[in-house]
Amino acid sequence: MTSPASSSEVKYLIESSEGNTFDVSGAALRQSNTFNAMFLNIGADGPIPFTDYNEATLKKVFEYCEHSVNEENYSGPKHQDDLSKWDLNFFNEMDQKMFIDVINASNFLDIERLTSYCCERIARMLRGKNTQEMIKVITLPTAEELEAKQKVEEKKAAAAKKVAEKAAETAEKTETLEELPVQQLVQTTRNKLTRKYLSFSNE
Amino acid sequence: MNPITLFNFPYVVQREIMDSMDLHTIFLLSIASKRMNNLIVSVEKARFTKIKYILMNISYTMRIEAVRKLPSPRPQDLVLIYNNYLTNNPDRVFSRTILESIQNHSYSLFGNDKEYQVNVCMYQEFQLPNLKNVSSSYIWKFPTIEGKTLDDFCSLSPNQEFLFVAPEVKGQLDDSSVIYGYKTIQIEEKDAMIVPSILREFRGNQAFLWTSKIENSDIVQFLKRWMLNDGFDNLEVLTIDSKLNSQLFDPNSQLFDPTEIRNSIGLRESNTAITPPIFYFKRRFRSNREELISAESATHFHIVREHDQRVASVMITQRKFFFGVWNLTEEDFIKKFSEMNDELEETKTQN
Repeated sequence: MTSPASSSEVKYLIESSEGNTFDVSGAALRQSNTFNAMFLNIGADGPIPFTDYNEATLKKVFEYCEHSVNEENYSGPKHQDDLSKWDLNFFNEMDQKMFIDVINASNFLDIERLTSYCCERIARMLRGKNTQEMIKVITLPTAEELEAKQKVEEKKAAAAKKVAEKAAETAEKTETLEELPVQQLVQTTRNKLTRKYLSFSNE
Repeated sequence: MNPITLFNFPYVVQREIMDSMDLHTIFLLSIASKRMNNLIVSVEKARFTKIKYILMNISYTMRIEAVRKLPSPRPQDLVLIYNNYLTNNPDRVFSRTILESIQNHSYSLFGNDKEYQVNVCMYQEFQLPNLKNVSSSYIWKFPTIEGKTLDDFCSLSPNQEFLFVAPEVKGQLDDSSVIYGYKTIQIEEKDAMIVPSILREFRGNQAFLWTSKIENSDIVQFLKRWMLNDGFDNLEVLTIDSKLNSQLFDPNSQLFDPTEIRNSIGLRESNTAITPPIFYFKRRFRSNREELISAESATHFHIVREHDQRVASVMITQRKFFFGVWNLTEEDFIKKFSEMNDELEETKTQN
């Protein structure tokens, strides 16, 4: 469902994991490549479900998007040193849990600029530290985690392959259907010509 | 603040985080654990592929750079390790172990096919590290370096393109030393132990040698063997310069007896009335293969290799021996320089 905010601006309803809805401007949503790919052309009939993320996280992400609406087009990551005061406040007022949730949501929504800033922020936490100090900032993966991760990746790859195969199959079918009338036409024409030729021969 | 579990992020985020790190941070992080190293390798493979070679600069400070194939837009990204723990450090001898450990770890991070270039400028107490895959070395070790030490260092990298050793190599090289097969060598010695063996065994392209003592017979033997095609198939240029101790510097001292060598070998002399042929060549003088300097040598004397009639210019003075192989037969050589002189004369006449 969409709700017109003004004559020039369209607002979309977003649904969070709690089932709550709130609206976001189309301009802000368009910063999400995921949104652009899924809903921009076909439109959304009802609230857009981003139900893997809670309301607070989604609101934070779209707060950033609303703020960036008027900024110039994104052209690669800026360094943290280039961030504005607003950007810095935006990051500083988040606790660690929220920060991690924002990264994941931003990554899912494919908001390049926000994801990039968040990642660079983590990288900066490690800069200038020795290995022992780094280990205090980030947890090292255990063998079990690695194994589980690999299994998930394999599953994902298999699923993606299946989807791709199905898509290819569907495309092939569509192609055949599209071609059918033409083939029929050709066959019909050929049959007619054959009959005509035979009738001439008989005469 | 609780530690962030980097591993729980999606692959794309992990890669973005790693991409935002400079190589120095990545390297130190990769030391944290084997698993972290594996994670970095899988995420940053494309970045590591862009590393052309690892440059180790070792003097009072140690600087290790991962030099990219293209100029990096972020210069700080090149520096892998920069530390001054060699300075004023009583444990300086451990620097050898540190360098070896760094290379071992680099193998697991960047892959074991990366080239290494080594620049050393150190005093006696520094021991050359056992490094593999070295493609070129510039070693300045005061006051001397033993031939055996040099052999041990080089034996791990048998295919180096360039080796510079100064200010003085002592002792001898092993008969089976890999140094004889290096493409370009530049070696300074004083005991007349190394240069004669290089004159016998060298299989590379360019040799620039300094010594304080060498027998005329060594030069004669070398020239005769070249003429008979007994080795030196790849040789392009070989020079020997006089290396004299400044305290014993005697302006009248001589390293070679030009007359004796000329008479022994029967050097052929081109027309002395005309300008002597000038042999131009490019030589490497640093570990960086892109840095070349142009050099030349002019002489009327030459010898001819019997089996293919190839010409080599030979210049001998009391303090310098120069040998440069032309890609010309004697007939073409004489023809070329006669024509050049004719043209020169013609131009002079016209002017």
